[in-house]
Amino acid sequence: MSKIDIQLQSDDLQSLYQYAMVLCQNPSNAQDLLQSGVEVLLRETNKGKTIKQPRAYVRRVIRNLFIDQCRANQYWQTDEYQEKASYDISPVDIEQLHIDQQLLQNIWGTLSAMDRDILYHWAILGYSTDEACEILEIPRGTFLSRMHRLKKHCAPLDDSNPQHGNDKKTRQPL
Amino acid sequence: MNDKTQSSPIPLKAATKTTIEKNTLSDTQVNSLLDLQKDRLDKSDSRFAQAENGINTVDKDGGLLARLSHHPKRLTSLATMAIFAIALSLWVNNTPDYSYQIAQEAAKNHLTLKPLEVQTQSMDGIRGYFTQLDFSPVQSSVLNQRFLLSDQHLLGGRYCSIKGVTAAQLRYNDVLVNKKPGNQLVTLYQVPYDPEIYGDIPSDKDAPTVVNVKGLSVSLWVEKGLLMVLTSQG
Repeated sequence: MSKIDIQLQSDDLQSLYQYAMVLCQNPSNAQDLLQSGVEVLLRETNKGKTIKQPRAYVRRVIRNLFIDQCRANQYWQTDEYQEKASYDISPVDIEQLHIDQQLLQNIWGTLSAMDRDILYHWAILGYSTDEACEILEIPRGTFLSRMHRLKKHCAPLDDSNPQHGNDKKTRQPL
Repeated sequence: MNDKTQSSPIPLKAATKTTIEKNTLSDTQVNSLLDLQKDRLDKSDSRFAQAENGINTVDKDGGLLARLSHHPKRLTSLATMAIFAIALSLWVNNTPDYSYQIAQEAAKNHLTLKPLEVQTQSMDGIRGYFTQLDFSPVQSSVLNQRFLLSDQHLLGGRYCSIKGVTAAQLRYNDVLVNKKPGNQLVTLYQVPYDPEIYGDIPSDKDAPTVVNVKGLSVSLWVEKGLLMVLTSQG
């Protein structure tokens, strides 16, 4: 009988923990989410289900668990919240935004879990923000308006910013 | 955070990546999650091996307990369930076995050999007499097939009771004792079967419960909703 290999290695676990932290911003809760995710994976595997991408599978489980918790605590923000805010949904070239590392660190926790989730999919997983919004079923306008607020913390986007001209990344206007 | 990054803005993507990747699990935490997977895979493998051998077992070893120790609530609920299960099994097992008591009572009636109230060689005659019963005496197929007794061996019957319930007592003359020519009185008691009164009596016609009391062999079985008790010389 062939022994099945462990599905999640150390780097997978670290990555999934970081994702859980992105969502809940609390180390204990993140560990709980991760452990629950791993248990779901093992349970499904033991039932004979073949999970080809365990890391992506557990990431999805973590997200679903987190949303369930949020709904239970009623702090998963809805679209109505945005309707009241004055918001700008004009395109933002997020690839061109520059920010002070410490500043982002400081404001990271004040962003909504939804925004952090999109930024994670963009910065870590390599999706465009459009793709991330689609995958995560988050209204694009909602995300854009938030990015405009984030932009206020970022370095100005003009030619006087020397780093702007050096940025060779593909522009992905929103 | 060092002063360098504070003074010079960097691309949002890089800053986001750095912010996210600052959070790491300790080695202990990683190892415990790796162990959790190994542990579960080992269980899975051993369960698979047992299934291959045709053995069904329940995963109740240290691995499960170790896992449950992370979840005290689950452990508590499991313990509660276990207590209920034990209590239930004790209750079930404590359902008294009345077969010996029934056999004693039947043997006593058999030995007393009180006179028959009706003498007949047919079940119709028996049914015609037993009008005060809340059931109808039946022709027992087990009696015919296993004990080779039929209406021609019937002598008659009388009212009696088993554990306080009115029963029909039928007396037969067995001319083939142990399949050899002879002469022996055999008593068959019929009474409506109620498990609460008589306990668990098998309804398997091929294997009646046999209890030996007072030098007699008493067979008990359930047939057509009636408890049958046959008393004969052992």
